[in-house]
Amino acid sequence: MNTFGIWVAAVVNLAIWSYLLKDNPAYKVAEHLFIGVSAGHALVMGVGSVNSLAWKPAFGANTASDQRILAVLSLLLGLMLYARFFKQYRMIGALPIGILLGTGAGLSLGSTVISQGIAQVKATILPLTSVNNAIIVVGVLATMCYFLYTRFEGTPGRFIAGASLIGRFLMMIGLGAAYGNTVMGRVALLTGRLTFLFRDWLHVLK
Amino acid sequence: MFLPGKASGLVIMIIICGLILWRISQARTGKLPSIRRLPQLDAIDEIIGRCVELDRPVHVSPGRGGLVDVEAPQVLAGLEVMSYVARKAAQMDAKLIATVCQAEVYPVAEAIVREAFAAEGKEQAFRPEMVRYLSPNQFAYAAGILGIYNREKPGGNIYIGLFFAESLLLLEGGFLAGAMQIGGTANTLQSQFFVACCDYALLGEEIFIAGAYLSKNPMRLGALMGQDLGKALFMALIVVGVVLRAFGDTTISQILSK
Repeated sequence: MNTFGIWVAAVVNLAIWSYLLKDNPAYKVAEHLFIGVSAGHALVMGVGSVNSLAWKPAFGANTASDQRILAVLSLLLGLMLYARFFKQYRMIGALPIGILLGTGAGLSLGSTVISQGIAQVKATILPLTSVNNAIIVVGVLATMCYFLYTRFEGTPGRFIAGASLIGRFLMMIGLGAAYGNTVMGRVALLTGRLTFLFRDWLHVLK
Repeated sequence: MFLPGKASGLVIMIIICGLILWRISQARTGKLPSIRRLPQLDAIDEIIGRCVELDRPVHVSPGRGGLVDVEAPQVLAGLEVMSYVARKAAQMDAKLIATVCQAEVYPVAEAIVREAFAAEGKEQAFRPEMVRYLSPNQFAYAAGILGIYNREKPGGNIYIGLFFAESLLLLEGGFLAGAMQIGGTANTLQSQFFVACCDYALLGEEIFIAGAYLSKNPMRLGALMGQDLGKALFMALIVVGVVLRAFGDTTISQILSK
């Protein structure tokens, strides 16, 4: 990073940290700069994606006809999104939105069953030869009981309520451990920023 | 014919879909058991009411994900909650701020809020600036929301959806700004921040039932109960698998690997 870049990064860094005192003009400048730069970056990336994934395949010379049709369809669907700016044509925008939502739900359906269902079951079918394995099996079953939403009556209801209480307790232990772990990670990030400020900017550290 | 692990996935998916359809058909005939209370979701009305009393806006966000990746269901769950919040805000004349992080989510969020206001007969009260696209960069998004906290002072924040490392900044900032907060994500690496900083936190999968729970629609509650049966199926597979494994039999694991 050149000297100018280091100075900009250091000043913006301090401006962002000034939020810890209270909202102030320096923070506002840094906030708007940050949002503007990232939105601008996203715009450039978006235009690049449209160009390489749709425009060139649709109108380029060396494109197979089936790819060309898909690219033209993609461009059309993208353009239809802008129909919402015109009150009388607003409903046209519902089609690409529906396709977006349907594609997202469909893509995630199979992977969710396999990665979050079957993989979890396989990882939990353990030989009960150690305390760790027993905790994992009981912990997974108890935690799954917590996520049952049907209200059960009588003995099954009491059993599931008890199991879900154990599951909740185990989840809180897990979340507490994760919180501590993240705090350590964030301290490492702070150390990185302080190292940048004191070594690269102020040259106090060697 | 199938890649390893895919055939069992297909069979289980078909079984779960069948169970959901069965429960939905039961719901149609009114034969459905009740579901347990979720105070975290009941508190959404309380937050909006508080914002009206304080004359401060209510802020809702579905988080940082897109609509076509594997995390999309979390964003969709957040958008369902956004729809409910927008309807309630329209009913109670509350000021609404809905922020999104991804460009592809913006038109969906805008359509949802607009339709929610229209459904309450208040289309004229809808303002396009209620729905704001901030930034796809997670920390720029967080910086933008911290600015909203300071300048517009929302009385309540509802963060239900997909959140990553920015979650602690959003939630801690909201807490310091004095906002009442409800939050939840299925991202298990971030759930602890929601528990620590929110007045009401949804744990993991609870965010997916928010839409069904809030709508009280019998069909959707039927789907929810069908999913409960799917979870019971997985629990049964674990119990049978562990018992068989104790006798040296790995049939269940082998079947699930097909």
